[in-house]
Amino acid sequence: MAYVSRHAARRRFLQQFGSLSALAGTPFAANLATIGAASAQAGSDYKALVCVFLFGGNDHANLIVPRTGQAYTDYMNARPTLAISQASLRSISPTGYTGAPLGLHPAMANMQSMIASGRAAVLANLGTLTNPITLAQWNGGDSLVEVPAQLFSHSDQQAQWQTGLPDRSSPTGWLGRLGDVTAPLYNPNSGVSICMSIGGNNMIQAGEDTIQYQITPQGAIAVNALTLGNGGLYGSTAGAQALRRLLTDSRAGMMEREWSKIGKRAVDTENIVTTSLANAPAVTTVFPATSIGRQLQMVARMISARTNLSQRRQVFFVQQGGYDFHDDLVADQNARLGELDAALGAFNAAMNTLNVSSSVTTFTASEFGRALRHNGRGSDHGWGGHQFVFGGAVQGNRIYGSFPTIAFNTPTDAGNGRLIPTTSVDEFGVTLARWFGVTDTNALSTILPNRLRFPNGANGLGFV
Amino acid sequence: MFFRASLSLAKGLALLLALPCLTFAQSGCPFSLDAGTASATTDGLYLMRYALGQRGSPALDNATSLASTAEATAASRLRRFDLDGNGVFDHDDARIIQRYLLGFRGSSLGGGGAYAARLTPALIEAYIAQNCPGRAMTAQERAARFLTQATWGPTWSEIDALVQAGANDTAFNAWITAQFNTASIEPHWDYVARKGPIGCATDTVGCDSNFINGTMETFWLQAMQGPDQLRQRVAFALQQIFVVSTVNSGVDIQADAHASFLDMTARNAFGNFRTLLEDVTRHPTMGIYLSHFRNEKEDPATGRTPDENYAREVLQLFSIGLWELNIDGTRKKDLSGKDIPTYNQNDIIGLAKVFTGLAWGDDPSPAPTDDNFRWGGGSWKYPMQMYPSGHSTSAKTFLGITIPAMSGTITQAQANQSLATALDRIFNHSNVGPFISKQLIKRLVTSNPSPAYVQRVAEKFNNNGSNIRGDMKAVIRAVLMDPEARDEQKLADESFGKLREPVLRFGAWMRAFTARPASGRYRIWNLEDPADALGQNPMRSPSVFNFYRPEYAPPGAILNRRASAPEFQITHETTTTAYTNFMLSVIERGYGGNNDEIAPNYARYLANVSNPTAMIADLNALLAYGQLTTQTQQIILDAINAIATTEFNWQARRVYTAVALTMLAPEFLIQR
Repeated sequence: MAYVSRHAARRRFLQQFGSLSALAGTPFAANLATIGAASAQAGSDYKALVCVFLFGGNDHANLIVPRTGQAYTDYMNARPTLAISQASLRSISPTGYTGAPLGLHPAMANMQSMIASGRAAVLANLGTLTNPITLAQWNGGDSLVEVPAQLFSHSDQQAQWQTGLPDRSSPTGWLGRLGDVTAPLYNPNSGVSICMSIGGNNMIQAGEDTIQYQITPQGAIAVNALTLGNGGLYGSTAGAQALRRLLTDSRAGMMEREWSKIGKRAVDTENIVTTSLANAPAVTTVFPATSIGRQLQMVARMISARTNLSQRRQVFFVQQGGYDFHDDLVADQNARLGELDAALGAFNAAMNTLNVSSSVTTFTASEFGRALRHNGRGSDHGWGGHQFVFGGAVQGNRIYGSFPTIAFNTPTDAGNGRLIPTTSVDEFGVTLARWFGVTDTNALSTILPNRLRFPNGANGLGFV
Repeated sequence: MFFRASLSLAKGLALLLALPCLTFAQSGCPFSLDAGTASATTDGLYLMRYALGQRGSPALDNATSLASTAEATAASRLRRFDLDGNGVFDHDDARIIQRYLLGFRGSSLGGGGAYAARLTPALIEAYIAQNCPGRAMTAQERAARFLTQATWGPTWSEIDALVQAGANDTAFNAWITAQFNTASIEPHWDYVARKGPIGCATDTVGCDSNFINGTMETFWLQAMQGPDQLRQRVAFALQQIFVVSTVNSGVDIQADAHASFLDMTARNAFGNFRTLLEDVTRHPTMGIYLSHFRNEKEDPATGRTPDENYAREVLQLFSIGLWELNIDGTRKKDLSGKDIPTYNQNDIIGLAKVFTGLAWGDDPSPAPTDDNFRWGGGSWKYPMQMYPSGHSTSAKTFLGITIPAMSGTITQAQANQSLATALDRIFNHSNVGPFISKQLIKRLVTSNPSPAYVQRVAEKFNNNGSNIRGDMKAVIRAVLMDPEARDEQKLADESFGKLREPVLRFGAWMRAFTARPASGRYRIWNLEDPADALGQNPMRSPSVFNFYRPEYAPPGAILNRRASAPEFQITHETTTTAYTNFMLSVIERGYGGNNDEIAPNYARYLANVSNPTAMIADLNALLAYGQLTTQTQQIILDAINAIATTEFNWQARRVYTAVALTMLAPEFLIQR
């Protein structure tokens, strides 16, 4: 049984490949073959994307720092109370990068070694954009160049990063739309959604047909009273049947219906996931006992269970909170990044152990970077920021996009060192979608409708 | 002949089969004008007379035995009773209703009359299914529904008291007035200072409530047992607008910090919004949480600018929101039809300067010296005070006003004046009424209030009738007494209502069944694990954006129709399952253990255990104000009857089953 009904999947597919309407009436599989997607159905390759969302707006200026010379002095002068000491920065030497030498935040030892080994790359000054925009256009308030609504607001920038549509309200996110396109091709027999979250409800995995599935760091949890061998509801199997009906029967009423849909998914999916996990190769890597560590451990287990789940494509969402560094930026970021780095290191090791490192690409995201300007003990909301992408498929030890000059009044300074992004989420997403197997231009534009407004929106940034 | 006879036999059978469906009083349809079961010979006859123009007694109610309120009920439903959609309730509609009540369906039901929009029986039946005007609620149910909106959950004693008073608008208004004058058990501060409930020094457990546990205990004690239920419920709503949290927070274990904040919300629940806004702004717990505590003025030498955190969130979350609003809560549009932002980054930069120079207050207050600003101590109990050396003296421009630059060394009074000017400006912004009113409606009544409802409440915010702006009593009364909150017809509106949030579901159970710890200590320290508990805990929101955003809608059907359903932000496969497991366990075993066990009292139901139908009716009224559908009642009834009276512990198991299935029914979970 496909998670998305075949009918819905087919309708979606035909909408996306609208030019194929002439083929209506031919078998669905033949349609796929005609556009060269037969390989998807016949193949056996496996790929997964893992989104690690850092809630609060990770500070970019202390994440990757110019570590020598005048560039470091400019950085230190810009934020004297927040600057990281030169000696503690972790040196990186990206291929092809000719700017001032860079250092990584001291808490990121694993990321340093992943970059050095060519497994991880940096996305520099990435952010939400409706169009490319220059400093002059920003300062001039050029009404022809729109900027995302409510810049610098947490909730709005989170939504826009995740929908990939900062110029409009959208009921879906770009990983969800990626799931809409790929699930019918790669996971036609899976009983579990292609989009799985261990980090709670999110926008990025919401699709037209794709409904994200929530799982806990311990796996799927069962309604105890419905579990065989537990004796039913207070010792009554008839009671358990009643309970099942109340949880899963479709209802009248907008919210009653939504509640029942969730209840039905929970009951229907739990057994598939639990059984699949139980029969999957064990994940032996030791993960840190942090929230983000436990979430990524669960991702690793679901990856290990991919065959049992009948999934050749998987999209995961995990999250870490606490990045809103208005206060105590130095200590708090050190703690957050330390937890993150340890968890990412364990996850990378687990992917090696499971022999899927080239099939799994992991990236960080955060609603915005922060102002370079300090407010005493922290810094305030910004716009563009740096993100990491890693995995065996990544062309690593490189910087993609343009690394900004860390100072005030630069061509990317929207004020107080809030970065005007030079690479858009659209370009980033297109790169990942193409790697994931989507090459059709209409499908790519369904996933990221604004992509062709940006220079690398057609073919992506080439980091995988 | 034979053929015709069998047809009428079939009709007769259909009639007989239809009748049992009418015997369940709680069935939404059809057409009862009072608390009784609808029938053709009472309600149907009454409506036919009404359609023919008769009014008053005895013309209308002669021999129908309907309650005296039937005429008013009929009058309030004329629009819905226009079954054929010709714009008026007339004898065609009354005829269809009579036939429907007699069990006729399909072609024998008959179609619409002159100018009807719904000509065919199929269309009429579909309309009835959609817009079924249910029976009138009983007084008990009206009271229970009101208490569901206004308290942490109905109890039979509260319901009975309201029924005694008539369970009508007069009674509810009087209850609200009495609640405005009901004091809390004690300040939360005192519980935390004592490290236990009143009397802990001499009881067997002792005063052992350390760190944040004490705040959690006093929170639940007052929410569950406080006589000031309206205050408790509104204070909790305010805590979800003016969010401080122990998660990702500089105030994570300080029980007194959070106790003081809870006291502040309780104190201001029935005060004036302007005072509330200032008390929130000056509260040291908020000061630490949103980092304007010891926020310093700008310093050109180091390039430092004031922290913008509070300036941004006080506008976005606590007062005016992101978009210019009409009085009805809809967004204003510019000439090109676009939404209009309420502020931009420059407003934030300007306003951030206002929230500088604040640090500890106390009683008596520390001298406002620079040393004390930087290093001094104080108390969580008192508002932050201004330390002029830390307060920005440059011009502060925001929301269309400028506080002029001040020269030289300024006084504390000057710094206070900056803050007062800014808070006055925010308070008087035309957005505050609709912005705050809509959020309170969403917390208490429904996720999708009509613009007219928002407007009626916002108008009370703007002017309580005595030319006072921000009168929270007037606002709360308007939220609860609005026709949209009280209208029984809203029970049949498919998008009306809200998902009860997890802690309110649990609270409803504790109150309904007098589940209280013998020790007086509610050791409900943490409910937030989404896999093992409820995925929500007071004072443990993951960020200042609360557990859910007021405008959140789950992707899919609700989002696609541009409705909102905030509580669904924490509702997913994990939390629905965990809630089920949590309640099934708690209903049987209580919460916690030893002296602190929060154990339910099911005596009322154990006494009724041989009469499952009565037990269900009682629970239906108490927990779901009579809204369990016929089908749900049947499901519960079957489950209870499946536990035979010969089985082990059958009495208790029947009660657990009835309570659990009621609390897992969508009719309970979605508050209407």
